[in-house]
Amino acid sequence: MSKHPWMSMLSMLLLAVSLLAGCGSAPAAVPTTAVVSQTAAATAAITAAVAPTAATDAAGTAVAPTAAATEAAGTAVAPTAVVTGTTGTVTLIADLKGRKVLIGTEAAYPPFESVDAATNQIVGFDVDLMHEIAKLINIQPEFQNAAFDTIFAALQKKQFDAVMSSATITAERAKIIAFSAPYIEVGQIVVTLKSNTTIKSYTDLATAAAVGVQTGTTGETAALKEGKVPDANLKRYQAIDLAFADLANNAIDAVVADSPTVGNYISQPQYVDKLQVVGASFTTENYGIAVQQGDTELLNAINAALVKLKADGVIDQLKAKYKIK
Amino acid sequence: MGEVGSSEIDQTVRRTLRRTSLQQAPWWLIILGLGIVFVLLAMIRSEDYARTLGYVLGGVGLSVFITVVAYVAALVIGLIVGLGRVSTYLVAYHAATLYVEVMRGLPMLVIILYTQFVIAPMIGAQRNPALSGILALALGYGAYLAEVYRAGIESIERGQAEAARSLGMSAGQTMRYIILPQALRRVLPPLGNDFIAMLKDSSLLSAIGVSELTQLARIEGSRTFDYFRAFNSAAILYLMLTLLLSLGVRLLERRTSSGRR
Repeated sequence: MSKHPWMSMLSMLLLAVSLLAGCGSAPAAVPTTAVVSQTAAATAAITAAVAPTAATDAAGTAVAPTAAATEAAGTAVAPTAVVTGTTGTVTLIADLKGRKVLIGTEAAYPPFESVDAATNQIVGFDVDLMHEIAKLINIQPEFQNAAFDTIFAALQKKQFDAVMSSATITAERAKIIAFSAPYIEVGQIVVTLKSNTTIKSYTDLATAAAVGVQTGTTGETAALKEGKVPDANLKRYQAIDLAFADLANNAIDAVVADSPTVGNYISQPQYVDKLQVVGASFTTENYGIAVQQGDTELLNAINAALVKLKADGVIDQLKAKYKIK
Repeated sequence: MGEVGSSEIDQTVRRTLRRTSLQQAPWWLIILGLGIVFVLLAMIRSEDYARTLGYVLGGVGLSVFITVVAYVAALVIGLIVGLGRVSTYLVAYHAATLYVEVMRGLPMLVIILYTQFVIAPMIGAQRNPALSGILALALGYGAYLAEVYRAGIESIERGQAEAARSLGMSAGQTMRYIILPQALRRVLPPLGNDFIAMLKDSSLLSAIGVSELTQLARIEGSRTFDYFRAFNSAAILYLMLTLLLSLGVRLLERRTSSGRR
């Protein structure tokens, strides 16, 4: 190496360039080791670009706007543009002119959002619903993976344009961000090991030695309030998948989480024989899409789109597709 | 140049060697200490901050306990593995090298998750995540400490070992009475360094639900949505702890440095 220093320098330069090229092309991969549960809490933020669903890209004649564009006052919005194209007629509820919307989500919460192991994209009910909304209001949504407990503070600090992450509408959260109208109703439910006979419903949680929840969720507040679990017995995890892994290992006695997600997790092959749901949902809560306070344009457009999608039965279709009761 | 008297030489020498008390004062400590006291006073005055600080303070005990226990275990593991690394016995050498390479190759967080979700269920210790955390930290840092010990042992001149052997001491006696005492004194700075590093790595245990300092800061932040306040509190507490430990390590170094300034 001392004889030809330029050779070693050249090889190092080539190595550096190839590494950079490799990093640039390959997306960050989610480690899916069999021993640690499916989505490790330590994964770096994954940016999954959802295909833009602009309604105006169909070739065709554009009719002049028939009504005024969205007002900040939030009155009911009339269709602003009708585009007739080869794919059919798409009526926009509002026209946000292809605005890019960065949506924060914690993609470890199936069936609402999770990372598809095969394609490394964020998929789920929330993603599909946002697709549909984007078609109606002409935005380009892009989902970005983030930690859930800091996600509302991040939205407040304008790190995202919106948050759609199985986020329950609560008064505390509504103080710092703005919620859309509810789009689905769920409840908290208790999961235990099949071999556990002492916990029959949420009222028995107070006697459990250790109850797992995800930090910053309504599951945590429900376990403390309705479940009356002492703070010392509450095991808080940064993502719910680690709580399920600990439950399966009998490290904790119960997990409290949203019922559709619980249903999804315990139907997975590694948990289906070990975990069971006890009792019925013991809270009622509604998910909403969160936007920055003051972003009335986006908020009104989303609300208008949700009204239409509910009326057209699209939400029910998605619920059936993801087997959500 | 005329002749210089010896008293003048003495004066010049003394002037260059002596440092004024102003120069000898530990300025870095004074500035840091004043900074911390100032920030703490400002925090305690604000009601929100006082509440947050009080809540997050509850995690200090567990963080320190975990760090101390894990570090003592790591010191023992490190010494054994370190001796294996300098050993002439093939089995000891290769086993130790394997351990060091594997443990240094895994990130600390991965080791912690692996211990809680794979190893702890095997030994029935999954109910106690703090124990899994201590085990993980000890195993992980044991590898780093092994290399520190090895560096210390190898830095002792060969003449010492040769003299000891020529006096009729066995290899084990040489190591125990001649090499190790000198080596340990030499590696006190990096050992102290790793102790402080482990205190900061104990924050990773929040991933498995241990209610230590960082976990409490996260919980408080998710409750109030004020992460600035929560993490400021955690940061100031970590800083105070590491400063205390750093001073403790310096004291230990000074007391064992045997005559060296």
